Amino acid sequence: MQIKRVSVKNYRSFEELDIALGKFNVIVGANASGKSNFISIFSFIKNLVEFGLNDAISLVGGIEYLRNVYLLHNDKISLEIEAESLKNGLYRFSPFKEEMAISPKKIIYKLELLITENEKEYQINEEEMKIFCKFFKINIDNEEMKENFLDDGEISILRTNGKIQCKVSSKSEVIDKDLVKRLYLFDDEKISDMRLDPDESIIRGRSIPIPFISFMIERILKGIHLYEINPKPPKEFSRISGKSELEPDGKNLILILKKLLNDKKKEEKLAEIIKDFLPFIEKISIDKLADKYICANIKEIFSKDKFLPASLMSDGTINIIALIIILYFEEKPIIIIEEPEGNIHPFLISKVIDMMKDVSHRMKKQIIITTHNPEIVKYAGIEHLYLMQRNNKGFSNMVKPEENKQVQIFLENQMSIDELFIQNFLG
Amino acid sequence: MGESLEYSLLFLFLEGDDDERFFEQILLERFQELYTEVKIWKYAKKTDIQRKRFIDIVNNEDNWNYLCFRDFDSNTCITSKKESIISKFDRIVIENIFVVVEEIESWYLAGVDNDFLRSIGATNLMDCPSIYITKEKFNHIIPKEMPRIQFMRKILQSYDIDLALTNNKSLKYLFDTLFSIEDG
Repeated sequence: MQIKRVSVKNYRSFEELDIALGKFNVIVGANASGKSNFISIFSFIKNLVEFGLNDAISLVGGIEYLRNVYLLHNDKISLEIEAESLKNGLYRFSPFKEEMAISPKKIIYKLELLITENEKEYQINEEEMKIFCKFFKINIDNEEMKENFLDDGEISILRTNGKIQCKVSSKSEVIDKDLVKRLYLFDDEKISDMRLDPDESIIRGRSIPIPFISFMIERILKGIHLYEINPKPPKEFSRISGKSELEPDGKNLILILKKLLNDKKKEEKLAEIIKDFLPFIEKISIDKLADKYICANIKEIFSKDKFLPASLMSDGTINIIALIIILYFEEKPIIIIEEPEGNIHPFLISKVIDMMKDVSHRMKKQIIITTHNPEIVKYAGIEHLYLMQRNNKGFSNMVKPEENKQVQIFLENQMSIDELFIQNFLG
Repeated sequence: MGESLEYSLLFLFLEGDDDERFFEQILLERFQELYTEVKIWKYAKKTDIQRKRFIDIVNNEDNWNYLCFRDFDSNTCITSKKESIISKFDRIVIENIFVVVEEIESWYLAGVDNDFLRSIGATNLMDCPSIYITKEKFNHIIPKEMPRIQFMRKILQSYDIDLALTNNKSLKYLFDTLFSIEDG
């Protein structure tokens, strides 16, 4: 799954934004231009899916921090996200004897919040999920599953003022009313009687009688993972218990390393990539300590058998290891990293970018990064660049330098993209 | 210059950050009245090849123009300074060169009087006219505990452009050539 388009209105520093994204996206811009606010769109959606609307809003500090502070006359905040499936995943459902399946191709999720009294209360004004998909009929012959394509179609769930409307349509109307009933598990009329609480999202609306649609959207949007690596905590002793996936700030890096080093194939793969970046690192080991703690040690080629403790590892080394793990070992379809260049020498940046291009183009993971680093700008390529800037009213705006005629003229005349970036000529 | 309604782009070639700060606060709006878009190009750390290439790019585009600003730096006369700039920039048009006398710090001090400078804690104020202020003399009057940037920003916040045009001939020459004095 890949996020194809994001649009927001009256959201944080944006008055209005509608931007198409690619497989590999590098967002540059001055300090306080709105890069982190852009990234927060994804963390907000992820938090909405994982924790619900109230917690998602609470995690940004309240509704007053979600809306644009210069647009107080506008009492609506809207977000829309469009994602496209890169794989042919099938979601099966069998409410009756007959088994059906749908393969989602594109989803659109739209949320409009209404800020009510005293600027601190809010409710969902409108919410919509649309799934553009292929319908299949599943036949099982001699324990062999065969899916027969039925039709292209669309499933939509619209919620206005708490009232829900569901619609299933297919291109050539092969999908009949019976299928609609099987999809809903309920009759149209019963669904239209359903109401949700003003702050209950249809994504997490367990009461919605089409759970597999919510589940599908939830699973897709949960694929978004955000990282901003802090190299300091991995230098300290780490608890032996913790999440099995890398935390957004990388604080459980040592635990993740321990898991990887226990698997021969993964250990070999990790060692090869690390050596390509840092040839002096011969081996990484994890030692168990008393009281359920572990720590990392590295052996350099310069020493015979002496291991150095993680506390002596450089910040850049930790950042590179974390990036390798994020890109090649964490099974995340949408990876967002804020300033991945942290503490990494400019000489190694081209390799970092090569790695990101490899993962985004060949392994079909989507990557979005923010940066201030001219080396990243240089190696990313103009086709992957997005420039965030503030307009004369203070609103953030995102443009593609590739589409800017001035930039094209400069590039045609042998000025380099990083030179233009440093000179602030990308916008 | 840039009076037609069609798109026009002006590049201001400036030496460094002190020039950029002065132009952004005091002069940029005036240039923006003459051109659709104004951009600053800082050339201090550029090689001769990079400078030449940039001027070529701007010269080749219709509706793109540039003005180059350079400190006088105690040269013998404006003409010889402009000639030295031409030798450094190659293909630069002499009409597009403006010499800042003595240095950009002179333009900063031209817009405030000694009473104001004393009020913000300036020390070692000398009697010589601000036009002859060099970077070194300027640094000498900044209060010990005050960051240089803060000192410069305080000056720009209280900047009197009419006073500056009286005090500094090179700044007045720029205004006479490009902007109408009444606007100032």
